[in-house]
Amino acid sequence: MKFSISKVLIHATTALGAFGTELELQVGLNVVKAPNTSGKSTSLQAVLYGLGLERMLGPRVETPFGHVLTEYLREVADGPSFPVLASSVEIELKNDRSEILAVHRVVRGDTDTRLVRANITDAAGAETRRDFFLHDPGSVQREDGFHNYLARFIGWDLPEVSTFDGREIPLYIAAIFPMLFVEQKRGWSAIQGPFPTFLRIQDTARRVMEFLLDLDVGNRRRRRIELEKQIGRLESEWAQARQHLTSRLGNLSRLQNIPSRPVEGFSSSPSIDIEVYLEEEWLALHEAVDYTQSQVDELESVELQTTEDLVPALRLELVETQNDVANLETRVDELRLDMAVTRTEIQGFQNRIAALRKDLARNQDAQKLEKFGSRLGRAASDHTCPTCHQELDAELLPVTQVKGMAIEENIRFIRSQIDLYSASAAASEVEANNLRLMYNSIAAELSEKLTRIRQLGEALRRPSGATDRSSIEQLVRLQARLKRLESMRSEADGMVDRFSAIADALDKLRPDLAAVKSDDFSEADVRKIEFFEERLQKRLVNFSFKTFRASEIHISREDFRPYGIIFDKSGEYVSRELGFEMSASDAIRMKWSYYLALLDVALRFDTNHPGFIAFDEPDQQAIESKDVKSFLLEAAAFGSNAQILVAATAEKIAGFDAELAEAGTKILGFSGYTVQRRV
Amino acid sequence: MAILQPHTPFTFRERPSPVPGDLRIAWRYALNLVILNRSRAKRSSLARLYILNDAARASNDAELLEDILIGAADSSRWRIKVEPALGRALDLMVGESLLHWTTVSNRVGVELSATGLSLAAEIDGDEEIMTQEKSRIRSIASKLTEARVTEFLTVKADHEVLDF
Repeated sequence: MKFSISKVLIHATTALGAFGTELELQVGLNVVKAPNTSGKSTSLQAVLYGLGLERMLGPRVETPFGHVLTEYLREVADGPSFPVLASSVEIELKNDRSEILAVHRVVRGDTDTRLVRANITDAAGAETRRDFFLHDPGSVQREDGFHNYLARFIGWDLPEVSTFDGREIPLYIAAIFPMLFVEQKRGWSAIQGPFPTFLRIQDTARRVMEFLLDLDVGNRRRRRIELEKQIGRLESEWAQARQHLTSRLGNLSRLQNIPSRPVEGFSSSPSIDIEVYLEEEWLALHEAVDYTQSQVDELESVELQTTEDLVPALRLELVETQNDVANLETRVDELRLDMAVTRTEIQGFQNRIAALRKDLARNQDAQKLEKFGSRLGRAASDHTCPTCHQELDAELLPVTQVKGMAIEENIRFIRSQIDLYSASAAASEVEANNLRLMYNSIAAELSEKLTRIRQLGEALRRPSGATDRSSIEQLVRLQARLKRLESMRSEADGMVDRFSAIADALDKLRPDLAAVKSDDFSEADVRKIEFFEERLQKRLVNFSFKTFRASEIHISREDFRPYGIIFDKSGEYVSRELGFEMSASDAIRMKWSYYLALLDVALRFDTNHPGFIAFDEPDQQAIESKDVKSFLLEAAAFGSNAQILVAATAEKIAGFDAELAEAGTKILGFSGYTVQRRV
Repeated sequence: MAILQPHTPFTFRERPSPVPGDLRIAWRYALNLVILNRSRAKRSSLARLYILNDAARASNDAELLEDILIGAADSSRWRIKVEPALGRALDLMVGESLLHWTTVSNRVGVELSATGLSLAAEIDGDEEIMTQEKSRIRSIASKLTEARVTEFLTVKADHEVLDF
């Protein structure tokens, strides 16, 4: 048992003095007994209010009490009424770590009703005073939120669940509690819950039951979401690193082996391959560095000569360089043409894609028109001519030998065409990009050669004796290029580790993700659910459930609600929802059986169920004394393994309180109103 | 490695051909119904339908027609196309009693029947179907009167007037 309630105290101050009640509860079954309409519910509602859970009844419920603690109360049924000046509730709880939590909350008075004053006694007996708040956003997540503390006190690690508006929030205690507390007015109207909807949690019943039963499938799902988030973060880090690298490399090089999304196995042989377009070919970066380095070395080793000696060599070089320039200019023109051709190709693909999309929209329109069916006539719906009844397989196509595609197939066809052309367009874009890089590189080289021609021209015109400046200038240029290439390399080297680390982290996470991929119940889950079903059926028999045979009742594997599978007249198995079929008394029997069966599972397996249930009284007329007796005796049979709190009308249990007491039940009896004058 | 072993017999089976969306019978019915629904007295001459047929299906044609109708372009720029699919669709629709043949401005035309009218109203009112085409029709149909259609059919070449 994760927690039990040891005391419930209610205070009300009126003009006539103090009123109130004090209930000391034990572990095991506790029955609050009073005559009809004597406010037994008030004691149970005080538990809800004290724990700040009145919102489980609806988002705008301020207090669950009627007039009793909020406006006026009476001493006797037909006596005068006294206005309530102030009122409050105190609850004391114990948990399985020997801690005691005593809370005080005002119902009516000057203090904010969202304030919970707590006295906490730890296992060693040391007391601390703390204040908490309720209902403000974040009260489940923040340290000074009462439900945050309450969850920890009970020993619950609340899981995150998805809402309808795409947020993730903790599974609020107010969503869980309807499975532990059956409230008088609405609690009996549904087998599960009813759950508050204002929290907008998706699949509330399923999530709450998964949590209470501590099913692996829920834990697995959460782990999967967590892992997918981490993987998503790593993938975006990779993309950013790649982006950073390409921007640093500039527009003369291309990155060969870093895909836009990380691949497996990258970290086993990490490297970054960069290619540079140099002198009309794509070279790997290290080759380009070596080549340029050798050019530099060559130039450096040659002694500087005077221009006069060099004239024949310079003249030769001038002619060669002029040839080179002519070649490069031709190449530039070729590339311009290629680029234009590729652009036209891309445009062509995009036009085709636009036409396909238009055709897709029309075929989709035709599909939507199918709903008009035969009103459009035989030609449209049956594809036969209205006058001669000939087949119109080809729709309005001119060639009659052809059979036209059905609309769905046509739509699939068009979509696959769109995919095809989009892929071609994408490939052409890559080609266009490569062309642009080559163009940039050649343009740069061209510009260098023109400069060289100018330098050679100047050198040849210079008076003899002057040192050959041109080779110095060339050397400087080559050294600059070498520096650029080397800085690219160091940039890449610096990032290899980063990519490697990301790829590594991803490689580690992927097998973890694969392990939690499946959405199936584990074996342990299946055992719990089967036991739940078995115990539910057993209790239905004990309580004389009539709507279906107990063996026909099963637990849904989707949301764990009970439903019937019966063998119908035509010999088939059909499933039946219970909601509309059960009488009021059978609904009560089902609710008893379901909640007690859940407790059975909690005692047999490891779950998150706290071992506490409360039942406020159902509609009196709906259920007979003898059924209430079987229910209470079964509840008593749990003994000290659980705490069950029940409100019952004195008349209904009149015949068997002795038997109950013998079974270990604590009966808290009131002869009149539960909230009495204090002396 | 060969894809197929040599001498493997195989057959070709004819597959259905894709049908352009605007040649789907239901689509054409819907287009014609919407055009007639937005025409005066729910009727139109055949010539007018041919013109609107092109304008409704292509946006550059629609723009050209609109320019002509507001006087920003000359009517000789428009080429009247006689699309065979339109005639086939109209024949079928008359066969279904959605339309009947009539005379409009001394020319052959069609008019919506009672069933055709109610179907047209519903299709026109459904906002998910044929949104592009409907917006083009909406801006053009009322401007293209039968009188203006006569203009399109009359070719002025110097001092000669040729009637079609």
